[in-house]
Amino acid sequence: MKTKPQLNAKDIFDSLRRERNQQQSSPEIVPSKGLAGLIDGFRRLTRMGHLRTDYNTHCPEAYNYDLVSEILIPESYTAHDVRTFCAALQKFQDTEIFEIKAGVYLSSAVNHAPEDSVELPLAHLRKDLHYMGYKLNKKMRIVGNVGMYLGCDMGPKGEILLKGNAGDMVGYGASHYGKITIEGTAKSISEPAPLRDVVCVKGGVLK
Amino acid sequence: MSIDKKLVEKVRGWYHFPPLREPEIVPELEGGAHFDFSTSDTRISEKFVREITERTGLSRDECLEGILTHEIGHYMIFPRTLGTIMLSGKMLDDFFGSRGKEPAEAERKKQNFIFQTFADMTDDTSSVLDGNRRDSILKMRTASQQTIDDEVNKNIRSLMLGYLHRQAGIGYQLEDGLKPYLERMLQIEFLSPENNRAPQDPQKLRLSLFQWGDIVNDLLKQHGASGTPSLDDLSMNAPGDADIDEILKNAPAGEIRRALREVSDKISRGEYKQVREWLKERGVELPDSSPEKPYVTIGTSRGELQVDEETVRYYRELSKEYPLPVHRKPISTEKTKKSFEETEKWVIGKEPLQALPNLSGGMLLPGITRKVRVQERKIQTTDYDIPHLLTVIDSSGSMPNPSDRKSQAVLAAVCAARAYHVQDSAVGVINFSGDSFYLPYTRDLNNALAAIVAYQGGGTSVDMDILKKMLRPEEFRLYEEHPELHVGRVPQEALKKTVDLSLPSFRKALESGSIDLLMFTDGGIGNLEEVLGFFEETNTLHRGTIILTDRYAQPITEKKDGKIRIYHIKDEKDIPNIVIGDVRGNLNYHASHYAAQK
Repeated sequence: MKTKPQLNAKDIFDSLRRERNQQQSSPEIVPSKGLAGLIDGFRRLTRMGHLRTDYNTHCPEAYNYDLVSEILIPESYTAHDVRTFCAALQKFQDTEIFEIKAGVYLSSAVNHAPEDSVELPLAHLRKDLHYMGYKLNKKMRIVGNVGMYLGCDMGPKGEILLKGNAGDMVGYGASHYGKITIEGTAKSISEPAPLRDVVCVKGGVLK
Repeated sequence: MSIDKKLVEKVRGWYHFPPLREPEIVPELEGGAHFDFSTSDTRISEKFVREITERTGLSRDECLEGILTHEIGHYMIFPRTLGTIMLSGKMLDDFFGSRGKEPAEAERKKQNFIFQTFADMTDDTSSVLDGNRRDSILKMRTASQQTIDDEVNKNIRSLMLGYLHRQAGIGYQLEDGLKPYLERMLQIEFLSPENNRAPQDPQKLRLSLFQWGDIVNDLLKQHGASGTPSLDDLSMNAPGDADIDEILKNAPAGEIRRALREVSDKISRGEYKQVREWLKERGVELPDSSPEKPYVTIGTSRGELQVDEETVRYYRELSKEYPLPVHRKPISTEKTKKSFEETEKWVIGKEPLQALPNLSGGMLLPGITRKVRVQERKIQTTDYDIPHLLTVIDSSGSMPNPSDRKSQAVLAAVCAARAYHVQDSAVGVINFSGDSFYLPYTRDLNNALAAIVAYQGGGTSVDMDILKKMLRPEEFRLYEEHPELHVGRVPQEALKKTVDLSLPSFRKALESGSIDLLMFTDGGIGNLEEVLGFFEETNTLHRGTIILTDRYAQPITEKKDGKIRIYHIKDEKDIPNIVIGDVRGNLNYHASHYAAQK
């Protein structure tokens, strides 16, 4: 009697079944409109090229404070958005005259924020920003170093506490108002110094 | 104690079977469980599993399933690579380092805590969005929440749990005090919405880390008296398995080198330098890649030119991200050929196999038997070979300084130099500015790279008349008196460029061999047309590629059938692509020939 040959070897693929459809959804992210507006405004500013390239045709200057305030700063945002924006600034560091543009833009953003006091973390930036606290008329606390013209043309309520070092020409401008406390050193204070109240806690220039 | 293999395979299957060893169960472990990035091992504490199962009623398998899903997620989702850990550590130190105002240990713990919780959130958010992994993670997280006694940790974990439930679309009762934090958390991009992967862009990672760290900081200020969470609690929720310093210090040199290369491609030149310095400060041993012998000194008429080793190393590492495939091509070359044209006397000591005994009666008779005389003659032939490379790079003041920012021209030149060098070709460099220097063809890649990277920054002067129109009067006065105090760079429009190419250098460089030329400049060269004419007439020049960034809008007439290709580009970022495409085309003869026929 003949028997049918029986195959004992097990095909390992038999044990596999069709893969179940995996239900996968996307994360819910609710971006802050204020932060997105600030980033977008600054991106547009970086694309404006160098200041006064069209000097023959009265084109507004790329780092002109009024231009920044009128065109680039978004309508509504909070001091917290400005603070977070500082972290986003790092990616623009290699753009043309970043130190000036970022300084003027941040000053304008701080001045137009609804809150009376703002804290800015700048220690992570490779470059020191100029014109920080330009036309400031509220309290500002900066953590990190800044460049030239700190507290330029401040208003009567302007107050800066800098936890870091400042560059040249602190308090530059025509204004006689404001108070600047530097918990570090300053390279120089604007001469003649129209700003009366500048205090350097450690080293540098004492006044 | 062991772990069920089927369970392990099930969880690995959810991640498409990553090549990981079986997890190890250990009696006790700080943090409860961890994924070891130096060995790619997963370890789970038996004590931790027992504690969870006893206190919450979760079954052992459910507990292990949740832990495995989470730990393998660290390998598959975030942080995945040592480069990401390195970058995250640097970013956290930038934002949350107190610069010596807080004790180093407390500061380190806080940064590790932020990193650990950020990694957990990215990893677990990915899991709750996946139909297979969702339940196991939520069960495990909910159960472990009940085992935390530390108030700060409990609040942070509760917030995280609330966020995970929100992402999973499941209701969760969160304390009122934590609800504003949840709104802030929803702004963070833990995962990219396009592909559900952790952010690859370092800028997004930086922003997300800052936003999360800010929340943690605020919670610590609100709930923690000391400002630092307690680390005594032995649970998966406590930090301990993501100590950035330990991970970096334990990583082998090869891994650190790989991580640095990964990082160099993602961030700018200045930031890369900072990362290296930061690693040194943290006591991480950096792989020594300094050349065995020092670079050649680069002398110009103005004196010695310093070459920054760090910058050379940066571009060399970065160029490894852009490998160029190289094929040989037929080139007219001079070779020697052996020939047999006459005979001479054979004497003892000469090659007997060349003797011709048939001419002396079948016997080897010194002085009588003749032998063949082998002669070598030079012949001109066509052989498959690769030309040498002459890189001409403009390093005048109008070009970006490669030490300050990523110079695409330098990167492209370094990529090309490496591609030719690896194929046994020699690389020569002409680096021109106000002065020119010529590095003769060399097989020493370090010297060639140093000559490419060297920056002279001359050849430009400021046009004071234009600058006067561009600056405000008081700014111009300040610039005149103290140019060093000028806050911005002098605008491009106010720079005059006065550069001429040195024809003798080119004559010398092109006098021998078969040569490919690659030139980078932003224009403004007085005698460019003359030099281009010289290139067209020179026989030894095979092909030339000139990349003109066109800042100085220099009109050049390109000959249709000429061997010089000229690219006018507006965005510097296009340079590496053009060079890679062009060099690949140059070297891959068959492909370019085929493309031309088509």
